[in-house]
Amino acid sequence: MIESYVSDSQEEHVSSAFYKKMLSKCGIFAVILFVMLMILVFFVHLGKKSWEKGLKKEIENVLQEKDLTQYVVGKNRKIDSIISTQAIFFENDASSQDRIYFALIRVPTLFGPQAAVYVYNKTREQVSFVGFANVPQKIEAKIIDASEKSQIEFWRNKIPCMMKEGE
Amino acid sequence: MKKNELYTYVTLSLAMLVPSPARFAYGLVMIVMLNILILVGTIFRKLVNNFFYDDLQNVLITVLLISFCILFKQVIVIYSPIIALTLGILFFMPVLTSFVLGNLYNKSEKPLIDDLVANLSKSLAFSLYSLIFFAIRDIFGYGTLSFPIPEGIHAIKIFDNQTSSCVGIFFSSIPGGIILFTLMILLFSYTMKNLEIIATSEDK
Repeated sequence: MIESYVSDSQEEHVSSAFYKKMLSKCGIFAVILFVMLMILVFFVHLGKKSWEKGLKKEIENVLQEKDLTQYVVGKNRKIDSIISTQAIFFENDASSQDRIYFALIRVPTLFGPQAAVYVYNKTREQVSFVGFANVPQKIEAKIIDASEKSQIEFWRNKIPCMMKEGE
Repeated sequence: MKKNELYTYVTLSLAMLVPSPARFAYGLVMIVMLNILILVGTIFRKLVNNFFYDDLQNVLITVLLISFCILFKQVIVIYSPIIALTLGILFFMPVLTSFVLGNLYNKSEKPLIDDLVANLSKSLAFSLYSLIFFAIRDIFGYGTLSFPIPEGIHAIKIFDNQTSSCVGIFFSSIPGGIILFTLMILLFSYTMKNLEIIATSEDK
C-alpha cells in the first residue's frame, strides 16, 4: 500500500512538472504573438499620414500632367471597405457646383498592377479615367490600349458602388 | 543549380517576379524583402528551435513570416506610398512559396552561421537572377533603369528617343515576363548541365 502511495505521488509530481513546462511554453508563445501584434499596430498607425499625403501628391502629379488645372485635391474621403488597402479617395477642394471626388486605385493590367487615377462626378454620376501614376506616356498609351475596354472600364463602373458602400 | 532548386525558382518567379510591374525599382524592393525575410526567418527558427515542439515551431515561423511581410509593407508605405499601393498583395506572395517555406521549415542542427550562409547564398543567387530579369524588362520595355524613391520611381534613361519597339514592350507585359523567365531558366539549366558534364569528364 505504501509502495502504491509513493508511485502515485511520483506520477503526480511528474505530470505537474510536465504541465508547468507546457504552460510556460504556451505562455512564451502567447507573449511572442502579442509583441508581434503590438509592433504591427504601431507601424500601421505610423504609416497612415504618409499613405494619405503621398498618394494625394501622386493624384496631383497625374492631374498636372494631363493639364486638369480646374481640380484641387482636398481631404481624404474615408471608405469603410476592404478596398481601402488598394484604393484611396479624395474630395475636390476647388469651387464647383458638382460634388467631385478623385480615386487612385491599384488596377491589375496586362503590364502588371498600375495605379490608375479617376475623377468621379457624383452629381452627374460620371466617372472618367485620367491616367496612370508613375508611367511614361508612351507605355501608358500601350497599357490604356490593352486595358481600356476591360480593367479600366471595370473600375470605372465599380467606383460609384465603392463610394456608396463606404458611406 | 540543382534540379529541385530549379523548381523552387520556377514557383518563386511565378509568385513574385512575373506579376510585378516590369520596373527595376519594384524588383529591388521585392528582392530586399525576400533577403531580409530569409535572414529574419533563419535567426527566428534557431531561437525557437530549443523552446517549442515541431507543431508550434512551424506555426510561429509562419506567423513571423506573415507579420514581417505586413511590417515591411508598412515601412514601404512610410518610405514610398505609391510603390506600396502598386505592389499591394505581392508583398505576401514570397511567403507562400516552397523557396521560403522549404528553407525555413527544415530542422537544422548546424550552427546559426552555417544556416545563415546556406540560406542567404540561395536567396542571393535568386536575387541576382531576379535583378537581371527586371533589368532586361525595364531596359527593353521602358528604355530606362529605375530606382525606388519616396516620390515613386526615379528612371535613368538608357535609350534616348526610344522608338516604340513591339518586342521590347512585349517583355514588359506579363506574358512577356513568363517567356523571359522561361528562357532564363532554360539557359541556366543548359549551362548547369554542361558544367556538370565537364566536371564529371574531368574527374574521369
